[in-house]
Amino acid sequence: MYAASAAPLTRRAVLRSAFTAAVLAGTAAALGPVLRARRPRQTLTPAPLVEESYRGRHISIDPVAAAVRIDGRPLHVMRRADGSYLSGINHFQSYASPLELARAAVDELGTTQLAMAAPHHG
Amino acid sequence: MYTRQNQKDLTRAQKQRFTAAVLELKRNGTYDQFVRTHGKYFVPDRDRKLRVGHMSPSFFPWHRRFLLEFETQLRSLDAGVSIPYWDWTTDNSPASSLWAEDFLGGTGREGDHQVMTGPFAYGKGNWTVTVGVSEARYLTRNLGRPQTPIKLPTKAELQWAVDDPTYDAAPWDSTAQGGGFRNKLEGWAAPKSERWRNHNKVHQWIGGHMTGGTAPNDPVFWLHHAFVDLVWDRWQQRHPDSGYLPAQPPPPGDLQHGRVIALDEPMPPWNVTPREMLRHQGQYRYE
Repeated sequence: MYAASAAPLTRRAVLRSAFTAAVLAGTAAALGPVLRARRPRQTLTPAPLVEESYRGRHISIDPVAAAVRIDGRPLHVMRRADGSYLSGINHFQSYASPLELARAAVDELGTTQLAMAAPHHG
Repeated sequence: MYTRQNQKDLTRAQKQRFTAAVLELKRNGTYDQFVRTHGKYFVPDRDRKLRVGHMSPSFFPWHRRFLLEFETQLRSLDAGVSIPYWDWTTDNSPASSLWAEDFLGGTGREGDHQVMTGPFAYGKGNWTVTVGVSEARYLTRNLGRPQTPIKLPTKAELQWAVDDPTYDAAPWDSTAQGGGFRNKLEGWAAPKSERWRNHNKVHQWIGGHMTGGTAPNDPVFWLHHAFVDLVWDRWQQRHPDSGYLPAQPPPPGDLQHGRVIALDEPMPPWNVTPREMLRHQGQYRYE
């Protein structure tokens, strides 16, 4: 009974959503370049990872989230008031970009792997 | 009342008693609580949270209390022990007796930077790292960072901080550039050509665990911070009319409101105020 009365609503809702999505998609297509330039999170495809091999280690960086991985393990990233980057490996020096931060962590780690889960800060 | 001595003047027996007490705290689990506390209270200054230990005016009183807590534990095991200090402007080489087999051991080996000598070498069986950001169960160091060499701070560099008559300055964080003894000695403030100085640079020069939030995994942490504590005394003696700042909490609306500790505000986790930490006479003195 509830299912029968709910169905048309659901159908309308689906149609409305589809219509809205189509309008938004059109708008997004028109404004795409602007949106991408101003707000990277608005793009429909995820921003490509920045990846490099450095001293035998694999660095990957999600530039949107500023998330860094070394050989697949997450590096804890923090920010300074001036916008520069600190990590769980480098607390007493900051870096202009996540890539510089990742390379510095590799320099300090040598051949050691990051832990699967790092201790958390207060 | 007891004395904190320059590490270079310790006898072989004193070094042995100090390292034995440290190893016992490690064995009974007390030591790793200190490592956790240090990591927990490292709050970077872009976070809208209270910063007590670093990038903030309470850098000196927070670490003074942190060292006192540790020293109390050491002295409960051996009342003849205190934390020695390391004057890194003088004993500024990996060849210093500080890094010898009979004291803290030396630098890490190539590759994994594992410390292979001294009482804290993993192979001795008494020093397993349990609180860390890497998988290393062994203590790591990279003295002087040979692949991108740096030098320990000079006397002139230290004096540049001590000569500043202002304790700290707004915005009370790592970007305080308008002067301030605290940021110059903590080491975020530096001429553009250098970028890092003093306390921060020492952590970098040692390398390995000392560059991260779990820096106290390396017992040299205590000797480094005892010297930082001594330098706070020097600054007070040089500027008797200057005091801890901020005296009052930043007002509501100030970006630093609720994020820094004023003179009479309690510092977690001990609920002591900077004012209570301004003097240590009656407890310990520096030789």
